[in-house]
Amino acid sequence: MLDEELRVVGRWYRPNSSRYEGGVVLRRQGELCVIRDDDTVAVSAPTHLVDHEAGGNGLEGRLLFPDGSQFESADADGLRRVFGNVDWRTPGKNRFYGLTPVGWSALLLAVMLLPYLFWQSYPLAADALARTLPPEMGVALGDQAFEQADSALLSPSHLSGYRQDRISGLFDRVVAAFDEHSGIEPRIVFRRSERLGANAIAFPNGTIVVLDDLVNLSESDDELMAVLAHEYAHLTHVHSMRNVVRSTGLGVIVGLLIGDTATLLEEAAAIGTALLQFSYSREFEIEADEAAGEAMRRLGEDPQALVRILRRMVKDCGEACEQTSLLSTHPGLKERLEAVTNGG
Amino acid sequence: MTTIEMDDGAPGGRAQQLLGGASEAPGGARSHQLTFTGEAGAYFWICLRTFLLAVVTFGIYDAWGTVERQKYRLGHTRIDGHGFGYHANPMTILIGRLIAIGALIAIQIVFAVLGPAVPFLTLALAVGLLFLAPWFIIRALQFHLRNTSYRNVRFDFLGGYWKSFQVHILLPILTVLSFGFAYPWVRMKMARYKIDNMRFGTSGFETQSKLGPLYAAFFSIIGAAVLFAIVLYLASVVSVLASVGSLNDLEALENNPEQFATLAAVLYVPIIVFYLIARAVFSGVFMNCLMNDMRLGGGHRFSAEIPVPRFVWVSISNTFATALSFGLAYPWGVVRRMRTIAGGLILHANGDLDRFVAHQNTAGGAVGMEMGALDGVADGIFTGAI
Repeated sequence: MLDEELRVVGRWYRPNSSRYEGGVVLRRQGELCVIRDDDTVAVSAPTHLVDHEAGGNGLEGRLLFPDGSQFESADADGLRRVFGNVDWRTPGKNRFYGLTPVGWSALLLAVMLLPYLFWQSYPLAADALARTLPPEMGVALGDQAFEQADSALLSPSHLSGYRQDRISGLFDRVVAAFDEHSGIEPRIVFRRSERLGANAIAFPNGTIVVLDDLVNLSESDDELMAVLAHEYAHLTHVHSMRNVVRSTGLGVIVGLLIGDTATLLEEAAAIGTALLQFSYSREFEIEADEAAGEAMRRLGEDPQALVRILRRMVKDCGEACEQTSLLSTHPGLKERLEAVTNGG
Repeated sequence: MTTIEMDDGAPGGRAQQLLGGASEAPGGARSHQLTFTGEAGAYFWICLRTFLLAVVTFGIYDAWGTVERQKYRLGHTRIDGHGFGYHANPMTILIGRLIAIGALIAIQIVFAVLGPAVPFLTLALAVGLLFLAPWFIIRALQFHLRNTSYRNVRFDFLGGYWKSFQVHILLPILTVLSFGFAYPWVRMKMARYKIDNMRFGTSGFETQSKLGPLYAAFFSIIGAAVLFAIVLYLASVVSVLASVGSLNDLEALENNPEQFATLAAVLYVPIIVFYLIARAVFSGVFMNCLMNDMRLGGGHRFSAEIPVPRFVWVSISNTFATALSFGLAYPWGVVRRMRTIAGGLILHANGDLDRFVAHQNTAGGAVGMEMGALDGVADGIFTGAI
């Protein structure tokens, strides 16, 4: 009458009571039955109304019956077979604490791959988010940044009106050579700065600041055009907003991961974040260089003019500026030469 | 085969005989040493698997991991050969955590949008949380205890809101006002609130907490701290003198940050060690004071004699082993700690332990225990506090 193969010995606790007696559990016609030692039925219930707690690792398996009684057995594997509960956690011959060797390997590999996947996919996700933001945000941000820079770092240009007009003309030619535009009207302004020296800066409100020292350092029009193309590419590629979103997102993720703990971990995370941000900055520079190189070719000018003037800007730097460094916001000149030459 | 008749003639008597159960003299007192039968190796692999799975699922699996680890720890804590059961539904915990995170983000957004415009917003929110916290603590305790069982009978928690507010909000303020001298008393009050409102089935717990030994330990620690500070001060003066020649050269030391940092690091280590020892001594003595002579309805009594020196050694070696192994030794530490604590606890049972009956709140086995996601939220917020 009874299925002898599927019977497991254990303790049966009376409903809602700590009193127990010996018995066996078995499955009979879709029901789980506990049979007392004197062959009377203690409890019987359809399997789907019974909760199974798997046990294992030295823990008893348990069946919780709907009447509040409970069957418990040290033979957790046997109980699992009676209940018919075989899921991925079921310990078997080939399992080591819940996972097969393949499972363990896959898990370890996945954990090790995770930082790489993040490193690969995070910039894409952040950029997609940045492109959905309204351009007005970039304009507001740029207005603010430009005002601050203008009052703190910049002073009026000493360039003659004639030279300014000439460079503005060059800039118009450069803008016309671009396919894609950011949707924000660009404007060029001339300033002087002792602290920034020979440089040009693009603000996300479309303002490109050209500093006097840069103009004086240039030896030909194509050099200036290359620099202007590079700065305008920063605008068309929405680099400012992409940078803002990437940095903010990193801060949020790091905060969620390690919390607000003043530990060595936090220092390590800060260093890691900084390195990542430097690499993003270099990525944006290379993108701008490639776009500038392409624009210069379209204009029939020399794409390498950019690197010529860059070499002059850092002439005291030597080999250190040729190579890309992990701690630098701009790539090495060798890499940038490649970008302007091959880009597009 | 001889069978010993139970007083009520229940077949349980025979079953217990067969299974090597506890009964020998009905109605007589029996002592049951608590045991922890978990093993460091097994617990290590369980912790590693659940942790790694939590990492690759961005924390989602941690709800399941938390339950599995708790099942292991409670299940291997045994009285009279019976382990405790833990029955929390991981999905409840997960949903609760998600709601808690959602609320946190919502609060951040509200602050970002309304913060500058509405004055006293922070204050209003802080006061609101202050009044919500005691309630959340109650719900979290209920969640855990109703999901914990021993011999088919669930625990429960019946603490009231006002008492919870007093114990968790007002008393900590008193600690500050008393310059910390009320700390042992406040800690004891908090713990007593939890235990005295705990139910096992229909039976209640009652503590007889003695403050004498606790304050003795407290003042010994303060005395030792004062002595330690003096020794440390002298040692630092001597080492500074040895390194710079005279106290007039202190400025030179300030100008030499590397040397200064070395000195600070050298002083830092003994301070940490002292703190760890003091904390372990206090919590060892605290557990003994709290649980010694603790009563459970029906005339059962506990005695707590956790060996404090052993507990201190276990705590400190655990901390250093965990730090030096980058956390890998943590499961081993948990097992050692639980063994040490269990080894010091004895239940002096009044007769058999088979007369406990489930309370109707928590009765009903498989279907009777559904707690809402909100209790998962409470659990998410106060996991560390309990």
